[in-house]
Amino acid sequence: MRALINGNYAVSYAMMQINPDVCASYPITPQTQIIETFSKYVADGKVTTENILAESEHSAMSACIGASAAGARVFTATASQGLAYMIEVIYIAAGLRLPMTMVVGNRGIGAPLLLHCDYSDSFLARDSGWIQIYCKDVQEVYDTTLMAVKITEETKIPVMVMMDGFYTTHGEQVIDTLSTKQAVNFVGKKPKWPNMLDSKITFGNVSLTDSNIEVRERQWRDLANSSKSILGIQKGFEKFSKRNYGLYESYGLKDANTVFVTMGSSYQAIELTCQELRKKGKKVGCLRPRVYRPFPYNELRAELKGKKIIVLDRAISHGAEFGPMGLEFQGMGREFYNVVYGIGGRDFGLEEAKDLVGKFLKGKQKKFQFYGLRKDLKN
Amino acid sequence: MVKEIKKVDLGARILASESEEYQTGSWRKEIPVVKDKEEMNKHVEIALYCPEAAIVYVGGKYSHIDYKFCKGCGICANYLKKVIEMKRV
Repeated sequence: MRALINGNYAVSYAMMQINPDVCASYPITPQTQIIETFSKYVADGKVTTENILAESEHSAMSACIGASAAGARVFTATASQGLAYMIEVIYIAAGLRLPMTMVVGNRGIGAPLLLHCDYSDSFLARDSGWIQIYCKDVQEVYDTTLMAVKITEETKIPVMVMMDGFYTTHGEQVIDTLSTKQAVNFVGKKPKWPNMLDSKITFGNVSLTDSNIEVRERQWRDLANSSKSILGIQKGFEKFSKRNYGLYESYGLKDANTVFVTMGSSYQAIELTCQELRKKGKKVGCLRPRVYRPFPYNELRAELKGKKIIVLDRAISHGAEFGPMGLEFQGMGREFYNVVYGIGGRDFGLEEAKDLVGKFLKGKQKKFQFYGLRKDLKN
Repeated sequence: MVKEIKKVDLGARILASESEEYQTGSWRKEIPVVKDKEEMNKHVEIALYCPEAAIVYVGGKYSHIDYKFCKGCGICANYLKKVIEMKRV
């Protein structure tokens, strides 16, 4: 079916089709619409989900952990300060290897108080042991939400699906949805995993100096290997939807001299700019990491070999030489530059993309810089 | 005594039955003593108050307190003040 829909509604629609066992959540801008719409589905009897409206994000995630440990298919959503409040239990969900799906509408973390998009919230959970997938548009968010359920149940690693706050959460777009029958068939019956109720298992045990590092190594190894499951599930999805997703998306990489790397919705502006410049004979390309954890280091290193790369960062690592994405890519390519842009939702559209790409094609640039700072604002 | 482990499962989970090897009875400074067994039969819910599930009922009738696991926390004695008494070990 074709539908004009925004990112938030697409997520709750996908979850309505799947009818998960438990949803425990707390509303926060820009993700509120997900909880709102999903709760309406519950109230209208469209789903039989146990909908827990928690008193905080910490409690919401804790309820998700308990439900998943009891063998339930679990879904939640959060953003920004909510994710920060949740962070302790986010680590626990991953450490206990409990399947669950969480959608994040990316919004920066205060102070100063802000509402708009940057990745400082989900980057906070970067090292927690979750699979992290960043989407560029509403179609991808819809598809990835469905795939996430399958990925998390196959890998026993919780999956976080990210979309840009307001750009994608509230931006409306025409998308192709699956029929509920198709969605249910694809996601499949919930597999049985060892749980508290049926298998008499104790979760949350102490693991001290005699075993902790081994448990962690296994967690690290399984996350690194999860890209195989992700690719397999994406292939299965492509078969009937005809929409294909990789660990990353790229344009013109093969013969490009200069490659712009960016995440989320701003990739669209960069890609359009590159396509235009290609027509003028400029050998430019662009790349968008989609799966950020596990990060496809080997593949990207091979793709970017000998190229000049400019990595755009919508987050800051205070005190570091580069931004978080820059740190991933440093050492790749022949020449490396890192640009921090769009912090706190400072707009980065086609105009800005053209300006930035033009700058780097024209002349010498600093290795690290902030893009788009106002000159008329004394600071 | 903690047994040395040779295998660790996903996320350090264990079978609930394995936790029986950790006998917490030695932590005890005070010991709960049941003064009235008949009264205990009227308060089956006390079994759920015990964090170590050390108050044993068989067929709905009070049987005994398992002192291998009772930590001596005193929750039961606080709930049933007239039936259970804490005594210094």
